[in-house]
Amino acid sequence: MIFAGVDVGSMTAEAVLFDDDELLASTVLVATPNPVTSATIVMDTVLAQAGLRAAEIAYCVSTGYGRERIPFAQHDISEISCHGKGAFWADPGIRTIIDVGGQDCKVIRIDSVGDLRDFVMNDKCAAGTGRFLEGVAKTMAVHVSELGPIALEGVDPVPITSICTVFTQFDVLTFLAEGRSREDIGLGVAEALALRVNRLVKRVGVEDRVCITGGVAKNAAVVRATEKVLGHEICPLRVDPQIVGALGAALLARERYEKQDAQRRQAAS
Amino acid sequence: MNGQSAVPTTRSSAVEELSSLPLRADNPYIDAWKEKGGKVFGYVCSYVPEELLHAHPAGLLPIRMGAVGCETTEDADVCLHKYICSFTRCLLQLGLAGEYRFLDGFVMTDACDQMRRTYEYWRDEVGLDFLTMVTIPHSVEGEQRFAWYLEEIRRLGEAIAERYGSYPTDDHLRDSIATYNRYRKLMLELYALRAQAAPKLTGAEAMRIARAGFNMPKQTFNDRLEEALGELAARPGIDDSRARIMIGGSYLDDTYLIDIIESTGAVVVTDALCSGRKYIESMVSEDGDPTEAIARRYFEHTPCPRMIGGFENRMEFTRRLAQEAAVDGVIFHRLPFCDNHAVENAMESRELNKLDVPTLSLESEYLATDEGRIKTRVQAFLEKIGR
Repeated sequence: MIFAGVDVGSMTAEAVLFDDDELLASTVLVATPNPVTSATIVMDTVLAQAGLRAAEIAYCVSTGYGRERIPFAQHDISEISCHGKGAFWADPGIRTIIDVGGQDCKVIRIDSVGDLRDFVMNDKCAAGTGRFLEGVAKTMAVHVSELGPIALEGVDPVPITSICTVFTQFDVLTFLAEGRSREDIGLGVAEALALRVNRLVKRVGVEDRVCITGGVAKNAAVVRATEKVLGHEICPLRVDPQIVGALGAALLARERYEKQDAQRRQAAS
Repeated sequence: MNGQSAVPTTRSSAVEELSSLPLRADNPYIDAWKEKGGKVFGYVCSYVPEELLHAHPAGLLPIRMGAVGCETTEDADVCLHKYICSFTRCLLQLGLAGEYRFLDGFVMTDACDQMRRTYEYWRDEVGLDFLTMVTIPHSVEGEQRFAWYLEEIRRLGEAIAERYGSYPTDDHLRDSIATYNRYRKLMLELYALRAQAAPKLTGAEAMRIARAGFNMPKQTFNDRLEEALGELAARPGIDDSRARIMIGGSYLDDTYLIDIIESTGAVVVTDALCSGRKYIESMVSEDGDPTEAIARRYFEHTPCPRMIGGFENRMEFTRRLAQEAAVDGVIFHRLPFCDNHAVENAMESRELNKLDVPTLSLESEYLATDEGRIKTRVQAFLEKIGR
């Protein structure tokens, strides 16, 4: 039986298909300004990839921005519960999830069955998110995916004192003008982001094992800097960290379907 | 003037009328009051003794000002930095835009530093016939501080008397005390209807009714509220709510946040807001010197978090309400840069968590446009508490 999850974020959209216990297919696309369009395109893409039709999906859960307006989803669940569920499936030892997405950052604590125990999210500010890294990459004239490998080569990180994305871009320009290397600037930025994440983690506490999800998890320098300030190992997941939200949505779709199915059976008997 | 004011327009159901009362220039009660030659006084802070204004023989209609309907802070931002509380800026914006031109007077306090900073703009840029600042002690412990507050209250009465003639007589004051005590009693009945297992009204309806109470002559409001209570009691209750929520925070007169919470299927069944239950509780003693009795009630009501001390008192209040309405969780709201409530919310959360009452802290501007961001947090909170 096919279950689907779709997660529309501020910068990317993801879809995941499950056949009972097996992860069938997943897709990550750049989001359009309209969440319904993004969801539709990403779902069509993942279905084509798996060679399935929309009618074959038994139950679909949507999450992310505009989740309540996705016409083909039977139910919507917050991305917080979805990230918890998805990370738990990928590694049942995970208890703390740091999700650094396109425009928000959240820390999620889950229990021994993957249910949400507590969470904290950043307030309305792009600092410490994917947008922050995109802005810095743009100023340095590199692609955001290159920022991690560049920063890993840094030795003497530049001090980033401002917590503001816009001001940090000014700082980066100044450092470049002063002749500081891209590697040291990249490292400074990664450490600044890790410190910001750490403050959020401190608010809900941390329990091993810890993982990072969301697009920023792909920046190895940020992961390493976070491990350092947190004093906890960040466990790599066996799936693309960017699909964890959609993965959790698909798992919750299966849970809901099974629960409703059991209720139907009970009512019938 | 302290009697019944003319009730304009045709009579619809009381619940309907109270929950859709137009504000400011469109408010028919303010029109009718002014037509009869009455004065209208505005105030915001819960340390302004409303009965003293209400009792004035010249006919003062006290209204608790709000900023619902404000759409921009363009002009206020010229006067005040963006780091000043957005409610304060919205209120000043309405003043600058002439939305409060029907006001004769505005009684401010220095209880909140951000609001206090707008005094000069209200004086110089908005311009009112009567504007005054009441100073409030930074602690409500000790008789000397009470003596200070009482002196400020008497001074307020005298300043009004100087401008509009005669200090209210004891009889006037006693009438006002009785009116306001009745108002409080009826409002508590409204809260009781919300606290039921199947609440008789939503949190948004309750806030709109309470807002009508801020903006109508209290005698008229009392009568209409009494009718409304009958109508509400006869309604079927809400028996399919996803969760029972209490909200806490400072001054909230816009249903924006409650609408988001209730759009998830939860019902806001009570509150610990400065503009909500805190405004309602504590009666004025009907014995002794009436000015002193009024001052005593305002001085001793659940203290504002800006006071030094008083945390236990506020916490007891929050705990009692959470229990009374059998809430599943508490959502605290704060406006950015409101340091007093930011710390208060964190401290109260910590205490509630010890009692296994789950809490969520939210921050949003008064003129919020980020519904999605808030809804995600509320929805995740309900999922966390298994609702």
